[in-house]
Amino acid sequence: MKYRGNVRSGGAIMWLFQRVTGVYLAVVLFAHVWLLHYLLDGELGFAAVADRVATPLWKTIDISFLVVALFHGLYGLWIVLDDYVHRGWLRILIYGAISIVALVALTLGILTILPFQAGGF
Amino acid sequence: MRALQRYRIHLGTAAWILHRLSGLGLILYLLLHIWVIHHLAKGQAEFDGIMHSFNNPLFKFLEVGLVGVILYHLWNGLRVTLFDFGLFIEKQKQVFGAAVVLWLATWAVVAYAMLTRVGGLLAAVVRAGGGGLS
Repeated sequence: MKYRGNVRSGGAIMWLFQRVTGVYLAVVLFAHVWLLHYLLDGELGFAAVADRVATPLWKTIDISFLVVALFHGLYGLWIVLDDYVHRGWLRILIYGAISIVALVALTLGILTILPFQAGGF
Repeated sequence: MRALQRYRIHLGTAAWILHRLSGLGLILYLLLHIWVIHHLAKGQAEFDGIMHSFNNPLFKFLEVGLVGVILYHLWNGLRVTLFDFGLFIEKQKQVFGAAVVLWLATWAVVAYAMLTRVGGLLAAVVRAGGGGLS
């Protein structure tokens, strides 16, 4: 995704942040897929997931993964739409919709991850 | 030489368009994934029931495709990031080739791992086709 010098909308810091979060996601996402599809024995089941997510370390990793992935993805979506949508009111509408989606998905994700405790809820 | 240059521009533009399309697909998948997992995580019975229904050749096929899209976005993103930080700019062609090779190689490795492990596609095909044998 090429950056098109739009200083007004945040500029170089956001551009850099998209790269840094991308590199972070490359590492954690690879681990996520590998862990869930290869390292677990047998079928992917609730018990194995619950035992792992119950630990504070995995809660931290999973929540950071959630936050960073949502940011990277929704900011990327905004960057793409930004190139095609030029009407002021529509841009505000889309920006608002993306913000609401971000908050809802973040809340749902955190509510999924937090309650896990060893041996069930 | 001019033809070669034009070819390279087309390749880079195609990679850029694919990066955007794969990114759009991935954000839609991420939102769906968060939604589905949230509603699955309510209890062991629901979770295991639905995960078991996903364990068939169609979903394995879709998952392998998803991994291909993720890995394309990953390797192309890292390629662009290198250039953005001014690294290997004089070796753009080699880096492009390396990104394509790494994309296909990592896709093959992960696909192999997904399809052959217990609960994978091959196991699902055996279960579906040879129920009487097991």
